Amino acid sequence: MRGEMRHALLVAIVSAIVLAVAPALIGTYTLTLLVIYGILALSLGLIWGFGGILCFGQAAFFGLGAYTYAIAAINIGESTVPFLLGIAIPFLFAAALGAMMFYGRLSDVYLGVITLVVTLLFFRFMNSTAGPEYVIGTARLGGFNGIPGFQTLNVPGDPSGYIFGDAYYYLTAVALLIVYLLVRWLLASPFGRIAMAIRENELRVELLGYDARARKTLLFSIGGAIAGLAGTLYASWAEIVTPGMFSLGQSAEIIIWCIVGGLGTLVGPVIGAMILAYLKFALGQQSVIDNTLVLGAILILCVLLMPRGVVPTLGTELRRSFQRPQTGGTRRRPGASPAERAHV
Amino acid sequence: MDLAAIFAVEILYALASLVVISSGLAVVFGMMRVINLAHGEFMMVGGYATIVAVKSGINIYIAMLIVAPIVVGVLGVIVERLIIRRLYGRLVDTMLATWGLSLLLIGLASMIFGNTTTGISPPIPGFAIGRYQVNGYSFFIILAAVAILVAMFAVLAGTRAGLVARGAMQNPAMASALGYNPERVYMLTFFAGSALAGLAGGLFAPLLGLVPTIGSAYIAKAFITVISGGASVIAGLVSSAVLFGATSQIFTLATTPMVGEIALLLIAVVLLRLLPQGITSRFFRGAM
Amino acid sequence: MSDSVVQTRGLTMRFGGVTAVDNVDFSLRRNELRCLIGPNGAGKSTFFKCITGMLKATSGEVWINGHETTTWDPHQVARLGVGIKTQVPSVLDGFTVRENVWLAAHRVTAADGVASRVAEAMERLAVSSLANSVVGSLSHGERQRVELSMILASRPWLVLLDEPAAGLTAAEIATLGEIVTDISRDAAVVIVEHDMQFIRSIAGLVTVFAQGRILMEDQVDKVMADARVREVYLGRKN
Repeated sequence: MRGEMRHALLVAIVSAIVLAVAPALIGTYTLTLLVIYGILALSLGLIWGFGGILCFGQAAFFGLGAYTYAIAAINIGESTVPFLLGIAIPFLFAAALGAMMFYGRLSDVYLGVITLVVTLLFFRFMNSTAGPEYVIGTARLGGFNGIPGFQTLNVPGDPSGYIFGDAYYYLTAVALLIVYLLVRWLLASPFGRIAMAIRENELRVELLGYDARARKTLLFSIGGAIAGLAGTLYASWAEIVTPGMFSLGQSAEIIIWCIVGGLGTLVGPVIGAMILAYLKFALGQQSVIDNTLVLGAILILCVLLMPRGVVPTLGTELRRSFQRPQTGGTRRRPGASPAERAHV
Repeated sequence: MDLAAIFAVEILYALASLVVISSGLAVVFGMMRVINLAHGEFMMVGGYATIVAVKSGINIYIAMLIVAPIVVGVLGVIVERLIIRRLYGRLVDTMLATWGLSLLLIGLASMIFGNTTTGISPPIPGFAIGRYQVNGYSFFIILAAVAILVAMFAVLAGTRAGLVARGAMQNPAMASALGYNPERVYMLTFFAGSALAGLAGGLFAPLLGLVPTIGSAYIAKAFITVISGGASVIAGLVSSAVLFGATSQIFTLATTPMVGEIALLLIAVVLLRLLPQGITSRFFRGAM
Repeated sequence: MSDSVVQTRGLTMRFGGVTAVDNVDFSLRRNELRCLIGPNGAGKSTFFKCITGMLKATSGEVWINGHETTTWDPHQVARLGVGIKTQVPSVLDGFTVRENVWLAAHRVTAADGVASRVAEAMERLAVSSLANSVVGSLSHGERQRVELSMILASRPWLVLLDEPAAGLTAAEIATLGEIVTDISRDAAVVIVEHDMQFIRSIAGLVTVFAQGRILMEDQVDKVMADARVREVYLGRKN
């Protein structure tokens, strides 16, 4: 375990250097979004890749975090409490939703459908809140137009000390690194081991006396909290939150990041998110091909051609071309086993 | 009295529209255990096929009832051959791939038709019951739902193809031992399911303005109906459509459509908690 | 009756119209070694699953060590100190042998004692040399031993084994007999088994199931000589 943490530290240091140099190539405004998406991808990479929990609605927690922050910021002003609420509310919501699903022993497919439907409901509900009767405190939900004009993140205790621009980028970059290290630490802990064991063989773990339902619920909630963090950071970056955050397209994107980056790793989904989000940004500059179409095509091709994820597949191919051929079949989704997993 | 009649029609209409929306998905899920996340987009394609046909001068009934099912049925076969066939038995991968397909179709539709709303007007005028106005087209949807159910039952129970299909779904090895090619059965089943989705899209085209993202308006309801129904295609479809159609419509009439949808979801969640394999795992067991 | 650690009263399990376990009263004393035998479909595996919480009985009661566990989940039953081995070797194929056994030891041991507990359990099942191998790469017999090693590492006072001899070679079955005898020194053991040779080798009291009910309960030799037992076995097998 100690070796793993040392490895994680190394990855964090390398990433820190890359994140520090990146502004020389890409503007920090765009980079900030990429980093936020990286955190969001990490949340699903954790629960899906390591917990085997297929959530089709990670966008629900992302949007919930952003809306919570925006609503709280309008009501409170100073951003510290809204920031914390933006993490806590998605955590609690994920706990409630997860408890319901896992204690109900719903299978993968039903899990996917329920999380998808919940996300869709958020989307449709938020879209239908244009009327003045939809108010929380002094914050109008605003329907399709979303909520603009809330207090963005400030230095704790100093409401006029806005954090923006380059400083905001470095803040999100540090947040990403901290989340990465915390998740790595979590996975190296007994809780993480048992979570992976549950993914591998839930019955066996139960027969050893562990309560798989409670543990899955907790892991799912942690994933929700991280997605919520990404949402609060997004809210301050965009300075507006809209129902689009809850859209199926957003949920699909998170899944695509994880598939492309590879399940069973943490760095994979983060890189997948950053590359694809940048690609989308670049594609957004032209109007010949529709963005959604490209996204859909990528998802189909990945599932058909590289079910293990692009990064792990490329990694294996590279290693194979440098090493002697290995024995052993290819593994199926989700994720690599702990024994042979990449410690990244 | 008039109000009661209106309520009855509204509730019946809610049930019927759930049946229409979900039938294609029910066939594919019940028979192949495939969850087609692009079901809503198949309906969207059916809707556009109808509108394009009507605008080029084809009779609206022919457009809805014949053109739309055929167009989407053919699309379904292409999808089955190119994607679904490669993923049989991999439920989650199938869901992901069809999700990709749904995005792809949305993108394609917005490139071709743009993001503006198009529509056609219902071919049947409304009429009044006492002081209340009723949408005449509602009766057509109710009629269509009954026709779909009768046709599904007739095909499954009464024809050789239906018998082979049921056999192949229960035991692929048995069917191939008897000389039937399960691959062909799957392909035809997917064609039938897609054609039903196209029909549904056609039927709803005059009711809602069509946009490329319209699929997401249908898909949640369709999933909940089918999944909650369970493994029996027809009995599951009818029982959950009755349950959800009635409750969501009652809530909608009493409050707002949004509350109706939330009520529908909550009931579905409670139901899945109690009957994880769907309604037909406990009731109407062994029914088709 | 008061000294029984496992007891069922009128235990019944129906699947649709089929009654797999029919009104079974069963009792096991502390530190007893008991075999459940019977032809295919006799209901012994279903009975086993009802006791372990993997199935919830249609009616009747299950008591383990003074707790009514009828509606408990497997992890709750396991937490009473019950080690359970399922029919198909249930191990974590992607984990190493050591990680598998660690998982079992971790729940019942303080952090500083886990390593030695793991080493000891692996030693007793002779899988120490495989400690760092991925379980998925091992043979069927080795995986059975890994699973037994996990059960030992959790220090149970009651061990429930469902067909531990299934799929093993003759030599492996002989070793298994020794292992089971070893386990039964400080735990009560219930074994659901098919293999008569194996049952002979570990002796103990035998409960014979037929058509969801208990046909008889006696020593191995008496059971083997019994005409009714021969009838249900041979009548079914031919």
